[in-house]
Amino acid sequence: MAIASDSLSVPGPSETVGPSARVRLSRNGALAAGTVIVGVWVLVAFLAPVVAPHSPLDLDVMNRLQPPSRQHLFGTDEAGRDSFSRVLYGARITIPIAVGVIAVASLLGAAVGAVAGYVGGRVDEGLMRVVDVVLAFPSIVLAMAITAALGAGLRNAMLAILLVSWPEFSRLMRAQVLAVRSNEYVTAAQALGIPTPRLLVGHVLPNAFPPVVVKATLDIGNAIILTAALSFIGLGAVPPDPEWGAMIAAGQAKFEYWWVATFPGLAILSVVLGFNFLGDGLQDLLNPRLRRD
Amino acid sequence: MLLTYLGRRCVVALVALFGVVLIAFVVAHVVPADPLATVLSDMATKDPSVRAAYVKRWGLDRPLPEQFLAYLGNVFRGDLGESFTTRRPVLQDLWQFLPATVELSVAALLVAVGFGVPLGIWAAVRHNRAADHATRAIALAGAASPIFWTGLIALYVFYYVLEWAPGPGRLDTHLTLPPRVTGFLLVDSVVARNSELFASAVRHLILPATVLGWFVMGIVSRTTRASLLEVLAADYVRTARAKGLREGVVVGLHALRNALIPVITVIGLTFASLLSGAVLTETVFAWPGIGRYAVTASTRLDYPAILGVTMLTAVIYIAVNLVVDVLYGVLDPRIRAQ
Repeated sequence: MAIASDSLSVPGPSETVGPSARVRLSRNGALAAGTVIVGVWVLVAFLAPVVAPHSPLDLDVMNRLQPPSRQHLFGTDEAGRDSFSRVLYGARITIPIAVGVIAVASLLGAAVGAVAGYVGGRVDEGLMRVVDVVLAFPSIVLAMAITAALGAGLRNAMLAILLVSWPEFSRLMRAQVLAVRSNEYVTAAQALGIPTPRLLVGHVLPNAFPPVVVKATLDIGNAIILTAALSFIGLGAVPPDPEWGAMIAAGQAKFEYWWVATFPGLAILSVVLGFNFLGDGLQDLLNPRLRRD
Repeated sequence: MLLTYLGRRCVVALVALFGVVLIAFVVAHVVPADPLATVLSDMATKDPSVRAAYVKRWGLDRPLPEQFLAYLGNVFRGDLGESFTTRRPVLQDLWQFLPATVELSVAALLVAVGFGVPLGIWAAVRHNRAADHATRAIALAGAASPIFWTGLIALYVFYYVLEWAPGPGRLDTHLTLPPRVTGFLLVDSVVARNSELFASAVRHLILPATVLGWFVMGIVSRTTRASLLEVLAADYVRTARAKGLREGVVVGLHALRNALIPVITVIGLTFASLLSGAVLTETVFAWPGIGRYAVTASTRLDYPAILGVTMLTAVIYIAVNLVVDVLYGVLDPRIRAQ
């Protein structure tokens, strides 16, 4: 490995004190890229009925499995439906589901974590053991079991994703509350006799919450992949629905019709990358002390 | 000191195991239909004598807490019910399918560590330069792509278009499985002294293991990088440099040893992602492991099978993390003291 070449330079003050302008720029770049990608996809979700050249559900048996062309940018699927329109409409299913599920999961998880961290003692011990247990399951396996138990379908898949997503927020929020609690201004507020609920909501939570927002943004990406995975297996969206995972499943083992699975996958990849960039950028914006580089 | 630490970790693991069974029990009992449907097939639930026998075996005629105790007892005896699809005890099925999953996961872990650690070192040494950005891009793309799609694309490119890789499955179709000794094809084919089988098994393993490994490699390389960057800023590294040691010696001998400790934890933590990924990779590559077994089971509402896989994966995860905790305690004396 060519390690020796740039040897012997001892990092000077300019390198160790504070993040370089370049790092800051690249992080802001992440925020900008994330905002643009997510923004475009949100627009697509809203405008799909206007922008899409075809209906996502219209069958055209004469034009089954056509390769991409000017008329069908992403080709057509096994029922002759326009893949491009279906990919656009897919944003209307996946993005609201992922955002909604993670919004609820983060609030629920954060509430549990805040109680555990603030109350401490046995309550803390008990709640954290529950969190540990849920985290011991690989998320897709537990989500599969829950969806199978409740019955296949997007609604139950959402519930399953919610149930596997909250515990990490609890762990994060608990650590945050423990850290914020030990600050002197909290002790001061306590000394002033401010009642516990107000202390928690007014003094502790606002300072403990930013990392939760960052994690929530990053987890939206995971929720999108999990939704698609459950649909891919056949436990989520029902076939004619233009859901990305289900569309990839329809293209499985049809190698000569590569376009059927490729484009919905690219849609997932880009939207998840967008949320990951956004989360990375937000981390920098919300908590400048957290810059790791 | 080390013993108390080990004892404490074991207690935590036991509590987690208990919770895992409790969750499986809860999932089994929110099934809107007949709770018997989680252990018996449709046909069997209609036969009154079979019903009565199962009601007794699973304690379904008793109050819920007692039912749970009966369930717990059965599970710890290894009685997970019978699969509706294979008509065999779930434990027997799991025993048959687990080796394929372990073989795939271990191969994937080797890919992830074998490429992830050097990439992370490279990124840390070339901090904020092209190599650093390139490894960041690889990590980001790995985390953002759905693995079942990556698998399909890999099959399309390397099997269908380029014809470099064999198709889905564990062996070429004209070959028959060697007699089962361990269930690991790579081992069993060596035991059977069959080099053709061994070669075929290796060729079939490469693509799925790379797809699954890539999925985890990003996490490994990012952790290695972050941890090495931190260590490289430490005083003793500066001392080593000031002594005039070559950079290769400083990084390789002084920094890396300490930097790799957190990487071990992360490898333990990523094991859950690895198992998650294995479920979907197996589906795409027609890999006869517990992941594909679970997927088939869940689409056919084969509850005993899916709950069996759910519990087994959780137990594996807890066991792996126990080993990681212990290893960590042995490697870093400071952890034991806490």
